[in-house]
Amino acid sequence: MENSMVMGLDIGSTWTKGALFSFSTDGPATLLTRLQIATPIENLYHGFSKIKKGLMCEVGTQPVPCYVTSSARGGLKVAAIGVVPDLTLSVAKQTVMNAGGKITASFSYKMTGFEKARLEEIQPDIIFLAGGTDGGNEAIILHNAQQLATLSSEGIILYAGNAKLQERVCRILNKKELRITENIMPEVGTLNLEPAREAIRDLFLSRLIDGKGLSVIQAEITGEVRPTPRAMLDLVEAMDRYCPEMGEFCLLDPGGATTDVYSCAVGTPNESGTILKGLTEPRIKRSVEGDLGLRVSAVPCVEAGNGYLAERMQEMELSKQDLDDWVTKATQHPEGLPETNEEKMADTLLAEVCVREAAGRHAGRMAETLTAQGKVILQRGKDLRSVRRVFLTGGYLSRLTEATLLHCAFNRLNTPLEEAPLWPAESEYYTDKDYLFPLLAAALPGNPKVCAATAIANARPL
Amino acid sequence: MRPDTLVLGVIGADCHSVGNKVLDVFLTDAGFNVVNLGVMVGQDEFIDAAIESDAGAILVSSLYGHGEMDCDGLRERCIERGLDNILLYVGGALVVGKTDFNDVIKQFTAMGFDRVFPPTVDLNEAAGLLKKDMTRFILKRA
Repeated sequence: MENSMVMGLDIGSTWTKGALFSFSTDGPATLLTRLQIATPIENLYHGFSKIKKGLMCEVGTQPVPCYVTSSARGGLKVAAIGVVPDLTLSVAKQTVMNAGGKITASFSYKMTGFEKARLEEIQPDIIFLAGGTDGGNEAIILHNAQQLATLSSEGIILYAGNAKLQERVCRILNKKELRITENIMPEVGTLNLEPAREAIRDLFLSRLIDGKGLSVIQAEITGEVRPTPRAMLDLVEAMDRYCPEMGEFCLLDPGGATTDVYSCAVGTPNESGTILKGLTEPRIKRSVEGDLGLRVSAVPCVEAGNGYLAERMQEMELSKQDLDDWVTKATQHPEGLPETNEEKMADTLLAEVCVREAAGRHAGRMAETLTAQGKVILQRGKDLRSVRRVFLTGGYLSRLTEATLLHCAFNRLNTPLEEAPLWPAESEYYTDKDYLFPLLAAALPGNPKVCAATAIANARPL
Repeated sequence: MRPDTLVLGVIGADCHSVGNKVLDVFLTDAGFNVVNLGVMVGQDEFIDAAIESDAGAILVSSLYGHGEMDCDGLRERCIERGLDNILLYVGGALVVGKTDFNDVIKQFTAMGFDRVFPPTVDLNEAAGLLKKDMTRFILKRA
């Protein structure tokens, strides 16, 4: 077969970017052109059509499949409701983040009137109602459904709790727009995320895409507009499936508003004598940190990195004023790049905080306990220490030429007061040098195998 | 609450796992829906699982002699977290030394446990009691 061309476009909240690839039957694709412009927030179609026309110049008249993803509107706003914070609420949050949503509120046990008022205030796109194992808790879930029945909000309610209550929940919420899917935790400790993830993705397509020109874009592309974060997870899954020789890996993606971390690793205890506590996390896990980002989320990022930042600023001789100035500038003009030396240092420090904090929250933890039978190690979450490859993407990390920043950020993860996060100890770093991952994720439906191979071939070891 | 669902686990820093597996298999065969949390289970983990699964009983095992310390306050914690009437069973090698088992029963009953079992017990008998207790408890509440 001859080479065929495919376009992948991503409409982000800051940048609209696109790439034209030449796909071969086997092996990685060749990048023909890559274009990028600031996203015109008021009409996304303008940005889309400029990039598409630009790419079409290279093609001529032949039709080329064009795949599009979007995270515009700042992603999906989701409120998660569960029963117990450590069980169904925790699983609900994980499901939402896996599906590319952003948690804007979360509630456990019986919802109060105040909590209902909070939902009315934030107006989430989706209200994710979970709780109970199949045949398990009824009282709390039915109470919460009753609360939602009288809610004045446009949000769609997605029910993914106790399957035995589906009909009753339907009846209670018959005046609301409601979708029902399988329970995310059918038994205590058993997770079933995929059906709910799929349902969130479908909601994104059917409902949330309207407005600001996305529906016009829909008419000019192959397939449907997909949510960027979900598409990125699809790319990670494809890298895992089609390139198994690569082994387990992680991916770090700090952006302007969130920092996303993916791990593709089993992460169960390596040594005997280690006991896994809490929920078993999925082999392919994605976490989204809404308070860690280099632009829109620069202010909360500084708060999150407080102690670490103070130490690093002293070493780099950067004043608090310089940092604050850059944070203000970055928040107001997210498309701007740092110019002065101080600005560059501040930008670097924010990136360090993003990867350090996000990786620390993504990875599991270990603690030693003395028992009558001797020393026992308790593990919560995933042990990623034996992972050897970490991929880096996002505007900042894709430009890296050396790994100093990562060594700085990760060598200090073991502060004595914390239980150490189980992040890869001695990994090799690979940077997405042409910043193609989101565009390959967009083009994925064209040929997942080629896109996965291209992502890996394009990554440069640091 | 469901009369067939129970939460099972070994409490505290206790890693004796064999008896736990035996109980799981036996009680499942006896027709119970067993939510087994395994070894080294904290009080809140028992309660979390009982809330999510709407369990009618929590069965606590302790085999390393620190049962008294680990189990103290479980009833109060259940009430605090909304499980007002859940059935609490405890069994195993609950205390160290040669304490008269009647004293052990008294001690654990005072803590709020509905039944207290010694290290050796006929499981058929225990399962029979459990069925009876759970049905009675749930009928009473309904």
